[in-house]
Amino acid sequence: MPRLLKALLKNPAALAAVLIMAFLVWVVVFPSSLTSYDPVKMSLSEKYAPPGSSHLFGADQLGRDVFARVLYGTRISLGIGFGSTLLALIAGAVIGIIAGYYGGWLDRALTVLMDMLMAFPSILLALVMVASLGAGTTNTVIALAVAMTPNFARQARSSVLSVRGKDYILAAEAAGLPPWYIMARHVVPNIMAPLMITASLSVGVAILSEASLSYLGLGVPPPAPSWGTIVNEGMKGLGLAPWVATAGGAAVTVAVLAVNLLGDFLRDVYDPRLKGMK
Amino acid sequence: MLRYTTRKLLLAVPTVLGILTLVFILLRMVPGDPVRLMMGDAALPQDVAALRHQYGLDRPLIVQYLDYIGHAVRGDFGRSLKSGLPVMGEILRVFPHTVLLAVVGLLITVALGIPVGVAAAVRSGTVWDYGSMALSLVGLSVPTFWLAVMMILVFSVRLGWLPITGGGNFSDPLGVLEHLVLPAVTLGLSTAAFAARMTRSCMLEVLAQDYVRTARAKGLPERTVIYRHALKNAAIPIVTTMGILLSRLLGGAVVIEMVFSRPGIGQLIVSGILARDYPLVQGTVSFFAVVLIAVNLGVDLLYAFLDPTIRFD
Repeated sequence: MPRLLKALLKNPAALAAVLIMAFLVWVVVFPSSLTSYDPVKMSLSEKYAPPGSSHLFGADQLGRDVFARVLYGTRISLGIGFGSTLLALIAGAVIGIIAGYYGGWLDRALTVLMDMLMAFPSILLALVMVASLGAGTTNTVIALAVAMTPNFARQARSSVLSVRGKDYILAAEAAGLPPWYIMARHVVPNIMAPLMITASLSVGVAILSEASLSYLGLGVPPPAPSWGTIVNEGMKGLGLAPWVATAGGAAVTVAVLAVNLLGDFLRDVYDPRLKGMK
Repeated sequence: MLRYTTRKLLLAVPTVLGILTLVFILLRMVPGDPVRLMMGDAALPQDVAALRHQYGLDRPLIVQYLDYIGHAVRGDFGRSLKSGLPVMGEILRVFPHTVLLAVVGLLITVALGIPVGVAAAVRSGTVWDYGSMALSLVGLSVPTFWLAVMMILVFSVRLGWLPITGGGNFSDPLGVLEHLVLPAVTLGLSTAAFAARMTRSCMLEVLAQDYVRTARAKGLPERTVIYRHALKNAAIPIVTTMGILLSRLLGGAVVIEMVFSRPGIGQLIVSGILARDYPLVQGTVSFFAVVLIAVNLGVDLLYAFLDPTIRFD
């Protein structure tokens, strides 16, 4: 922990990223502290009001305050981003541990399945899941998690394989401890580090994917102010009111940039061998 | 090389079957009723049943599967529920647009990303390195669809230089080009950030090798060291990661086609999902997946061509 703090203070970019993340967390928990507007309240008299004193980022085609929508959208985009990554981490870890620990035909079957899933671009896989499950918040989380699981599974499996032959595992097996206990008590703690690094790099992808899905109308349904939905709505009056689309996408960029910077930083601190690689 | 190629081609057959099966399963994950979804809640039960029978969705799953596979390997993906036209016909109609977008996008990505990545690796630790990597990190963080919208805002709406939507008619090459510029440039820029990072890490690994040190110790000009020794060997890992790059590129193409309302496979997939057009989605995704396999196969063969040692794996 202190090593982390020291490294953080030496790296201005990472420090900025931490501050941005802290700000975003604040926005998720207390969005009303920064705006008095209701993100879904329409006010047709203020249709397409330009950014100014009454509306910081202007108003959209239904007179809703864009700044408020962006703020409340943080909850959706970050929530789904982190939620789906966590889900993928757990699912991938379970699959990877089972495949790596037991080996044999189970390992081969799971690996083939994961490889086939990885052949798809993640957005396509997410689209297929949405086609099957339907749109909506929960289904978006599931769709994104499915798209990201193979990566975690592969990472987990490779870590498990390197731990598998270690003496403490062999000793535990010789002592007659049940496999599930060995996996939980000995394998899991030793594979967490690379998985956390993969997770920190995946959150950005998850946020981008959610935004893309919502932009296409296949993610979080309106009037929920997902950042992707905001950009979609901004398309209609792009010439008249460019601030709508600009604000939505800028929010995504800032959030993903902060997450990516933090992910890069964490990876540099915990696994310097990988420094410079992606 | 011939033996390796034959082996890879033979392996491709079960891979294709596997992927087609996977697509079939993925689209039927939820035990819902696609016909009911399509017709809406107000539909009469007998109409729903009639339509289900018409599309063969009331048959046992294994029968549906065998029927799908049997037809799919002959290139028959059934008919679109919405338009009634054969799915394969629709795919072939729009496929050239997607190919054009992907190829030009790839060219831009390679032309931009690889030199930047190489330069960053060679000048590792300098402003050049940090600057270009910072820029590429921003590039990775910008959502592709938003970059596309901003490009439209600047070049189509404000400046009026280029058209906003459509793909153009192939009988009018200049029009096609006009409609290609913004989408391809957006796609190229977006993927170039990834390519630059990837190239940089591959180059860094190669530059750390002993033979590079030897070449420098021999007193060879830096230029020769980079081009003759380092780059040639870095080409191999770059080509391997090309598979991931192409996957990203094609994924980006799907979104770009939607933003620019450009005809293409991606646009077909998304509009199929929005219209709950089951056969269309199944057919287009399957086709897309097979194309991906073919492309990855090409990359594998290219890799074996560049690095003779792996032919004996």
